[in-house]
Amino acid sequence: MEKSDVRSLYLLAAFLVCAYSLPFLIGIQFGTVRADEQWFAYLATVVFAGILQGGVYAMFAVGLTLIFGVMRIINAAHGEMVMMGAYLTWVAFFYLGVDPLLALVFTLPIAFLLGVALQKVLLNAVVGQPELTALLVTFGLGLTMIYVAELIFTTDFRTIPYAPQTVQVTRTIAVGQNKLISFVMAVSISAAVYLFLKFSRLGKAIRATALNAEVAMVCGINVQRIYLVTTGIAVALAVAGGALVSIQFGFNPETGVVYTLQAFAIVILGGRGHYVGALIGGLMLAVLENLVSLMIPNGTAAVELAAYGLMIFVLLIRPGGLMGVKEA
Amino acid sequence: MPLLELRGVSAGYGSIQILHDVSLQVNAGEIVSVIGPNGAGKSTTFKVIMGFITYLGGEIVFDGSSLVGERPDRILARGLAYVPQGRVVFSQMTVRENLEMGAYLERDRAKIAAAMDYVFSIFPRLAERARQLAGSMSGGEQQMLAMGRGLMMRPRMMMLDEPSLGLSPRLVDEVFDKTVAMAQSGLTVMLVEQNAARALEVSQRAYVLELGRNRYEGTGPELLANPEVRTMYLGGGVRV
Repeated sequence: MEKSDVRSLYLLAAFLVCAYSLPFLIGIQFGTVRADEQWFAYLATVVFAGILQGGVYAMFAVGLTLIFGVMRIINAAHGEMVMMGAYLTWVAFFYLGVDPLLALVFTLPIAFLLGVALQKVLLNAVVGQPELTALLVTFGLGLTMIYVAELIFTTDFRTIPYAPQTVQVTRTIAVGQNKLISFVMAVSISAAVYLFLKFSRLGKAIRATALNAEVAMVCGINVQRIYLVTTGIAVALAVAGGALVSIQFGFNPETGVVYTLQAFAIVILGGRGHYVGALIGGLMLAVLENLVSLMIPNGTAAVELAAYGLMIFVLLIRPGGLMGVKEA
Repeated sequence: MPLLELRGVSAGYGSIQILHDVSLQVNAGEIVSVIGPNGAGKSTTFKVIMGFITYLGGEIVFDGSSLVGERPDRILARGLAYVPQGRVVFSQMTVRENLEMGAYLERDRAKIAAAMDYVFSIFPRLAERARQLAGSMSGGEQQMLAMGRGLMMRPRMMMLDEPSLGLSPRLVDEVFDKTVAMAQSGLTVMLVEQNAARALEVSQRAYVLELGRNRYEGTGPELLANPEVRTMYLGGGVRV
């Protein structure tokens, strides 16, 4: 590592320490921090819940980082794909009576095919174009998806009641069963995708294409096909994320915007195009968000602020993120 | 019949034409060099063969049938490998993974293992570094890896683009020695080089391109002895 690289890593670490202590300081100011046993139990619970939530965030952020890594396309419609996943699950649950997790068995292949179609119809046209072109195209796609969803489902908030019981994890920590299930699913799916990329022939070809598309072609890798598979997997990850989000939180057609920005923040924090970085970034962001919501009054706005503040400062301090990706 | 033949090939990037009626032949078993100054269209010749740039006319024939419009993976499958310039390896993958990628089109694990043994026999250092990340190796080793990767499909012919670019004199020697070793094991080699003197020494025949056109051709010794070629391309001694 070069000197400046090391320095920026220290700076980032110092910034993160500040970022994580800030909610505590504000909390002390507002008297929401009480050093009694009950409060520490709350604290342990929100950190634990943050980790659970982070697993789900990480999973759909990985989809964003995959598309960026392989094609240098910033997919601004990623959150809308998460939203689409939530609605697919909702339709399966309320109209077909299918269990939300069982529904993944057919929503994931559908998502994969939609991804392939999206690549063929839209994204192939912007591969190799300036990043702004791709960003604008996918931004337009996201808006289109929002309004289509509003036409079909209206702007009402939907929820899926699923596994509402509370699980006592330790004496002090209790979380919703749905959150635990979501975390386990997210970790399994992320691990499966990781192993696929690391060890399978096609997965290695995806990594090779991300590292150097021209050389991948020279190796006989059909790069066009790699693009199709990559977007297919990315959309499937987003839809899986949507399913897991839908059994925890309410959603409407505009919910996706928040998830897009969260995924951006995670990917920037971890390092663009970096798989493990996205996983770490997901956990870190969710824990921070939960700390903020515990300690800062008027939580929702502050939670959003924390996510985007984090994103902006990481970009300023260390644009490559935690994993220090060098700009090509 | 030559293994690879270009007849009157014109090509360019978009509307800018780089190659004008370039013709050349490579016979099976030969090492053939293409030399010339910067901008002569040397690397472009490889790129048009691979179909990476706009083809404007002429004929490209490999092993009796045309390569025009063929996909890169089909070209490799037909036995023509290409090693681009600039030590292009997959830096964040191990040496072994890089070689596996070279054999992406081969499904037979036994054949892949045999090809890897063959590559290791020519480049023993790659065997020592098999588990290392390619990006952490020296420039010379990365060039050897790129060449080794090109051998993984056991091609009949390899197109090497500036293999000595940016290497120390000792490593330049090693790269040329390895090129000769590959040729002796039956590989046909087409070589694009800035380092013209060195390239001509190892080549049976060579072509000199200038501004995208054929300028001279002949055997390596002929061109080395040609006074015009000497002053224009070899005057400064060995160029690195």
